[in-house]
Amino acid sequence: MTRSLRVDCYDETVEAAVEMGRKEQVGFILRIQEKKELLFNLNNGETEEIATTSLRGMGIQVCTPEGYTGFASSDRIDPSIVKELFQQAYALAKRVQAMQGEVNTAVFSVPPNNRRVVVPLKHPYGSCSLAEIEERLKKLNKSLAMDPRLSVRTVHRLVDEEWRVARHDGTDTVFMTPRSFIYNIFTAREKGKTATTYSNLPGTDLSILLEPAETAKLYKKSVPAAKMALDLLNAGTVKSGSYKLVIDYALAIGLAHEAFGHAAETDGMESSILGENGRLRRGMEVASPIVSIIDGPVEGDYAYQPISANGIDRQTVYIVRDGILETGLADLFSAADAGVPVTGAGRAESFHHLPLARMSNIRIQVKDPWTIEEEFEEITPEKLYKYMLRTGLMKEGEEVYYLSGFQGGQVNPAEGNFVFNCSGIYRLGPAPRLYRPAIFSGRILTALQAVRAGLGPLKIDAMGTCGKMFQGVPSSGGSHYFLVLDKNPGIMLGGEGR
Amino acid sequence: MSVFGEQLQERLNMLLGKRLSSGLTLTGWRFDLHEMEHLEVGLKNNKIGGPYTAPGLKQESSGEICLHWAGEKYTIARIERRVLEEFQANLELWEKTAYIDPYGPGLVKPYEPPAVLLAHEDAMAILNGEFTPAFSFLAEGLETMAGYGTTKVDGRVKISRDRRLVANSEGLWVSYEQTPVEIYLAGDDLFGEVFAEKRLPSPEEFSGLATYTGRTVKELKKKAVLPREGEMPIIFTPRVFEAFLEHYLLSNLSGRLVANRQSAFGAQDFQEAKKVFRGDLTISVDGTRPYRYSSYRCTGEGVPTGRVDLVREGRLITPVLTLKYAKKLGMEPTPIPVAGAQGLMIDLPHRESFQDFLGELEDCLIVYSVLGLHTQDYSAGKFSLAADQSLLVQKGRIQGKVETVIAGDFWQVLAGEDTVFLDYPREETPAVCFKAHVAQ
Repeated sequence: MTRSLRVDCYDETVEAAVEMGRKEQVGFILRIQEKKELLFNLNNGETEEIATTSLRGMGIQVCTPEGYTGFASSDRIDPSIVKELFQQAYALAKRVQAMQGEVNTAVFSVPPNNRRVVVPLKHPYGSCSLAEIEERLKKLNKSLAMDPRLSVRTVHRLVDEEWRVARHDGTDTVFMTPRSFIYNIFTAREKGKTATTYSNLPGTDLSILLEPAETAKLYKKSVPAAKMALDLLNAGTVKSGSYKLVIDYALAIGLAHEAFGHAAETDGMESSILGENGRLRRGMEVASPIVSIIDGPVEGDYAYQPISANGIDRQTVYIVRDGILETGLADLFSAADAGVPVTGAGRAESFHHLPLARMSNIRIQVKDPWTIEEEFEEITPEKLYKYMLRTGLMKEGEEVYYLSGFQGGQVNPAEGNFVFNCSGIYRLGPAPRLYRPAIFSGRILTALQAVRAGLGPLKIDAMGTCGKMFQGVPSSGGSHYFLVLDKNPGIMLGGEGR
Repeated sequence: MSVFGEQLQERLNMLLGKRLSSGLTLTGWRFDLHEMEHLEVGLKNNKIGGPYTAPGLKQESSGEICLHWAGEKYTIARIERRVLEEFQANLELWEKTAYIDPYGPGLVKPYEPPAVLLAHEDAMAILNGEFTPAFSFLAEGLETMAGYGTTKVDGRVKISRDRRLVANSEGLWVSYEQTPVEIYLAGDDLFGEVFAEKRLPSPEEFSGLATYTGRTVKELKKKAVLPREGEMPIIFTPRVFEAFLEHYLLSNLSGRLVANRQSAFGAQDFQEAKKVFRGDLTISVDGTRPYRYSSYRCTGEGVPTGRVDLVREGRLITPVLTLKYAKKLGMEPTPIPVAGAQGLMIDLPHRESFQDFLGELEDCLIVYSVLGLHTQDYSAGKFSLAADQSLLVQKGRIQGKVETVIAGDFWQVLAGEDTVFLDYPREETPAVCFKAHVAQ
């Protein structure tokens, strides 16, 4: 028996929902969420804000035997409220039936699940005094103010979140999705010019602040980001075009997530470029044969979610294996239509939301990567240039650009276009030259063909927030330290005119 | 709401002036409470409802509380419905999370804020159980867009009732209702458009939304070839212009970023009313217009709504200031723009007609959406983006869709004397035409 969680105390509410389902002869999925959150905001050595958040509630998705769905949610959790919500959701489902809306009976076709996942945390929420957290963050923030032209903002967020998902079929799952991060924002200003860069360290608890190895890692990541902000003040712009590129692991998540992951989500297969007549084009060659793309929950990861918001265990899947499209990110309601097995990919932002097919930790893995013994944080653009020469991945004088630091991205899976952005661009050489960031855009079906090699071990702790259909959920992933991409017309670096 | 608010007020007032076991003494408080009900109905791939867009009713009571303690200490917390049931546990947490803030704000004195019309009877009727209109919008939108050859229509209707209470220990007590309505239609994963106000759309407005969306989707289906790369005129539609204003201008007008040297503009720039944009451009925030999505009676801190120029005739007038950053910068607090740049008014003495202007250009791009705006460095003003939904127009005739990468400087767009602001059908915000680098 694992330790008890806050959501354990809602047995009577779950039983009331089961009773309603039995009485009305309809299916349901009940989601109960409990979340506590701490947020620290520091600016230039001063605490600007400490805020707490508390969120509790439940949402119930009712499905009639004919397959019509209705939903209701409330921030009150008790047996009488769940009965009220059940009736509201059922009435809405009947209205959909009257309008001949969408039919989906998948909720009646999965086996029950009673898994319970309690994540062991070394330094959980509440394990350290707020004064100590504040003091450590202040120290970190001050240590990064290395130049009077710099302004440094540090944000720390700690989330203690629990879910309970129950269904009419006896499913009653409980899991935790703890997460934390420290995020530094560096703004450099001089003579009317401004540049902003970022560094971050994700985790699941306060270890990112209390474990010396973690804080040292963040510091090592942050110093180059701060220096880059200063250097960008006088950086030029790359001419737009296709180039041979090196991207770091944080940008590789952009490639995996934007260029591929979204298009593999089965709830959009009716229009995804990876679909044909609504079904995933399994067996299609979509990447270089050295490339595999894997998605799945990783314990200790920022985006960890072991069980889907529909109460199904989340699988680790090869979306692409050796360049071939193998399976999709499939939630309960769209897997069958897409012609793939359910992989438990349904995630919801909160109890107020209906789950969508989403990624968790997505990574690009390349066959036979070149070895790098150093830590990622030790590798400067100068060192990277030497690695590239040593491995024969570039020649002296060759025009190769290294894109560093992920700034987010966006995709249109139906048209197959994606973009993502970096913090800065270096032209690799004996003395690498820095350029301002420029959008990296490409086509889903050709971009991954350009992956030529991986350098270094896998590093999959790049973090982000993924937005889709008005919902945001934590996301993460990565690749080898660096990926080398050949010049390819399917990949374009933006910037000024040629 | 008033019962909840009164009980919370009572509990907090009982603590005023008392030294608690933590050693803290409560000197003041304020809260901003919302009791919300929402009805959401979705349309996915031409079907109403379904597991991803099922109709849903949602209820919640939540808000923000700020406690003022002796010794320049403050606590800020997001609170939920059970704050009263678990008051003692919450109080202990609030005491623990108190922090020193030498720029901590004071409390607004009681006053009667402007009586802005914000709650629409027809919207409230829907939340009282007359759900049919919410479904009808989607059914009508589907029919209209199908008429333009749209094969996949997606959409969402969200109608809310928000009973809001802003109060503080000085005696401020502002309570009102509002009914935000959002209707979104999109076609063939190419283009989407939204109606957002604090009322339902008139039949003409809704028909205009569906027609514009359907017609634009139809135009974007026809492919064209970009005649050349390099510098050329591009037109941001009002929605794209608003997105740029939000990302670049509003970010850099944030009082917090200005005060902390994280904005492109310094505090001194405002004190000197520095001219940074063209001389005929005025940008204001106005929260007083009836039933507008961006309207409200007061901010969460109790600052009254109103109309304030942020930029006047090209000069920086004031950042967007909460009480804290007003104090820190020695300026007056301002109304806060709600819903991003939708809450901004763009004033110019002259706007060209969109249709007439198109005919004057040899060739140009009309940009309906960009990918990746949120990835751009807001502080630098530069942009380098994929314009995934753009129409090529030559001599006033739409040729078809081109996919391009555009690069430029948004500060230059707002400063340039050659930038042209255009009256766009159905929109208050202008479209804007300027020259940018375009590549395929």
